[in-house]
Amino acid sequence: MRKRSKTLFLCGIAVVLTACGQKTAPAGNLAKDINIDADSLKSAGKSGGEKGADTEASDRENPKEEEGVFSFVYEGATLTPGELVDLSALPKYAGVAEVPSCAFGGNDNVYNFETFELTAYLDGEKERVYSIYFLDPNLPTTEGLCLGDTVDDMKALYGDAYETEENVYTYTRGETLLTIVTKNDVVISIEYCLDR
Amino acid sequence: MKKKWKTILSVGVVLIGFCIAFVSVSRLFQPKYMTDLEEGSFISQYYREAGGHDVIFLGDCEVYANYSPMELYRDYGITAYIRGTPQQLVWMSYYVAEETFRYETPRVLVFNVNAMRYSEPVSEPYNRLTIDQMRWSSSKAGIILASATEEERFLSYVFPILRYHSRFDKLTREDFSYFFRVKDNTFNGFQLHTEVVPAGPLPAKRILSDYRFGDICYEYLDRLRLLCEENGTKLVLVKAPSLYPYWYEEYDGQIREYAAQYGLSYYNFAEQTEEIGLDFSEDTYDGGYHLNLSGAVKLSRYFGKILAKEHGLPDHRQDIEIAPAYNKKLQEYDKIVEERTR
Repeated sequence: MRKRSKTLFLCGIAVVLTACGQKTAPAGNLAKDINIDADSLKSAGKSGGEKGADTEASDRENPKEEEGVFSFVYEGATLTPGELVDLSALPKYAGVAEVPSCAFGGNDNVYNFETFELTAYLDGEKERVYSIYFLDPNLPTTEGLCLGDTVDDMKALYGDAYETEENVYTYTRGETLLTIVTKNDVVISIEYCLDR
Repeated sequence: MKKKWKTILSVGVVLIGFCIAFVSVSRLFQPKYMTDLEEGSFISQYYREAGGHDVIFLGDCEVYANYSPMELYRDYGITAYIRGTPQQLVWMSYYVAEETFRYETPRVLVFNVNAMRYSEPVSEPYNRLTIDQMRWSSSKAGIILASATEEERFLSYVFPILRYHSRFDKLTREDFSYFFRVKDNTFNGFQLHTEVVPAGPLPAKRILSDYRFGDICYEYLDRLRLLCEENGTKLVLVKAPSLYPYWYEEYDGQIREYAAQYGLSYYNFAEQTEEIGLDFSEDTYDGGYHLNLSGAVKLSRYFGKILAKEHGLPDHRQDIEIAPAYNKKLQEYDKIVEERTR
């Protein structure tokens, strides 16, 4: 009898442990799962949790395929979403803002280079590029698009392989996005972003 | 026959034992949110205080960091409780309100509209901070169904061990100390911060592709409004005076329009920082995103006056059924403030 009870109990435990195999991150990572910049996330249409889950980026051994990702080249320095930030290769930034999340410790650093903003997220102790947001109408993308150009200019430079929703055009290369917002067929916002 | 009953009894004892063990282990593995991510315990602290509040605040960090119910009582005798949680989205606020009405019927329900900008659940860990420690009711079931991201399972809220089993090697003393009851780390839902981190550079105001609030946000705002109407509670909309994330004019316009359409009061305190007396070189603990104690005192005094004058909330400072408990709480609050500002 005692043996039967014991067997029943162990079966119960086994059933519970079997049921544990659901798709959630370990609770130990709770605090690391979040890192949110609300406005940029809304414009990118991505969730903070996804953005914070950056372990894959650090695991990639050969992340740079020249044709496979969007990169922004500024004064000889190449910035690619998902790649490490090398501030020494860039001119001195004018200011940096820390963007905290509501409850979690992680911060994004938003570096202002006057003509653009570079948002960097922490991957362990290293910073990686999350997004590059254009501020200056005279600053061209690597391919030559500027704020104030037309949708036709954009298509001439980047082609028709975009996804569009109303006035937003998104080009995707690998895990990087180039998001262009237009108004009356004029480009009013340009942002390179990690697709997370 | 005797043998049969003996077997049934044994099986019953084993099943009950298993259930107790299962619930206990589940509770043990669930985060207590006491020393880390303490915001996760805010929702449960309300149950000990439920009832008798004239004002209930709902919303995200912009409520629990920015308004101090103790100051509302000290200056105006208003009894208030903040049921705010991190990244509390509109549908969450609705279900928290629904749950609150099971315990009490406040005269005024203050809803911070910042969450209107989010049309989708943000992430599972944020959901957990609001939902994990809610008591079971149809409101909890509703909030789970409305908030769950694709990878979340309803059952993992029913049986938290399904979610937290991997904490077995991360258990700390906290998990045992607060097994039965978490301690209060707020004053009526207010998270007290005395640090000062002056506002510095802010990110540029980004051009968004679409400033319109999502249909789902309006749907739940409507439900919240109707819930308040059914209970005879006045719904008041507020926007806290945060410098970031930006509260765009387009956002503000939509809320003004909504408030005008349904005859609701809406106060955008981000536009009234001078009248409130806020100085972001000293009234914020994180560079302008949230107010610290001195900022919260200023905002609470300013808003308290509005609540008392424009919404006719009574002064309970001479009420013998309420005043003693609040005075005691005020003493504790002042003591903590003194310790932290010494």
